[in-house]
This record gives sequence, C-alpha cells and structure tokens, in this order.
Amino acid sequence: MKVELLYAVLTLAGGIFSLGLLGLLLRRNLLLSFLAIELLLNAANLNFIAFSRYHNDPTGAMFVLFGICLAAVEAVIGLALTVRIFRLHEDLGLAKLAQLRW
Amino acid sequence: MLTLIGLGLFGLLALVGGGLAVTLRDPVYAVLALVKAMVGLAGIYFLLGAEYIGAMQVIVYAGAILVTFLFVVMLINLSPADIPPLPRGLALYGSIGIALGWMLLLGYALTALMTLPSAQEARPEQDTSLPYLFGTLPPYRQDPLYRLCIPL
Repeated sequence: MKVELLYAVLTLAGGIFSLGLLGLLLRRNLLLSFLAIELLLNAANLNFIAFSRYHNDPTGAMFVLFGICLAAVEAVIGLALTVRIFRLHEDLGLAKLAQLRW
Repeated sequence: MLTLIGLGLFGLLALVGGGLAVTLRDPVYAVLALVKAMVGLAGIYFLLGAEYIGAMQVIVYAGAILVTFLFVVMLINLSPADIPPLPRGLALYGSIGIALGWMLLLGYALTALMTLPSAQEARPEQDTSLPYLFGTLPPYRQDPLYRLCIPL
C-alpha cells in the first residue's frame, strides 16, 4: 500500500469523524446523538484498518473486531436507556435530560 | 489507480450518507442514511484488503446495530415534528470551528506522517509480496497439533 493511499484514507476518516462530531454537538435529541456516536466509532475503525494495511500487520484488524463488538454493546445499552427515558419523560430532548433525577 | 477510484466512490457514499445522517430531520431517514454510510465504509474495507472486517461491518453494523436503531425509532414513535431543526447560527459557526480544528490537526498529522517509516523500513524482515493473511488459514497448517485441531 502506497503512502498516498494512506493519506487519502486518513483524510476520509477525518472527514467522517468531523461529520460525526458535528452531529453529536448539534443534534438535540438522544437517539440522533447515538447515531452520531456510531459515525465517530466508524471513523476510528477506518484509521485502524488503514494503518493495519499500511504496516501489513493484522493487529489493527483485531482492534477493529473488538471495536465493533464494543459498538454493538454500547448501542444495545444506549437504546435500552433511550426507551426507558422515553417512557419516563415522553421526550428525548437533551435540554430536559440535563438532570438524571426528577 | 483503480483502488483510488473505488476509494473515491465508496468514500463519497460514506461521506454523503454521514452528512445526511446528521442533518435529516426524520429519524427513520437518518438511520437509513447511516446504513448507506456503513455500506460505503464496508466497500473501503474490501478495497483495503480487510475482507473479513468488511463482511463484519455489513453484518454487525448495517445488519444488527442499525436495525436495532430502526426498531427503537419505530417503538418510541418519534416523528419529525419532535425533532428540533438544527440551530442555524450554531450550525454555521460549529462547522467553521470543526473545519479549522480539523485542518490544524491534519497539519500536525501530515508532518508526523512525513517522518513515518515506510512499510518496508518498519518491517524489513517481512515479505510484503505475500497476500494479506488475516482471516485466511495460516501457513503453519502442516503443524501436527494444528492438524489435530482443524483437520483440513
């Protein structure tokens, strides 16, 4: 793998990370913030794969497998919390969820 | 060259999908746009030679996680009217700020990458003409203990 291809993939990963960060900062809804977090995790995974391919070393791919498992677990817990919070508050606006009690 | 064209196409798919996922107001459409971004990323993984990770990306992300998201969106019955629109001034200045910070980071990263050792320098003992081996049977399959575990 040439270093120019590495630069291209890293730039793309940076763009995807920026989009995810923008969504995380601007979306005022719990569920859509979770969507943006998934985008952030994927940008990190893309970096791992790019460097793993560049160094011809499968350790990065192992980390990506671990990260995918982590993302699945995080999504399940987060979505369970989302459903529970919606049952309690009838709303998912982050401004009203600033306090966990009451 | 073909890799670069494919990277551009799949990268465009991923970027457009991600952009739609963070801007669309209907949550169902946002989740579907994120599925599109995941499929584009899986294509990039295939291009980079990580076929197993690409397959896992499609199966786990697009197949399991985002379908769970869709299930929850349907379950809690979010309508687009419940989603506030993106704040206009914040969207503008936030975009500018993130772009500036990202360019700063990219400058640092590029100067760091210029001093990065090339693949041959980093691992000189390894034969880089070999195909990428992750997810395939390793070359020590003639080992008797290995043959005992996986009789292929």
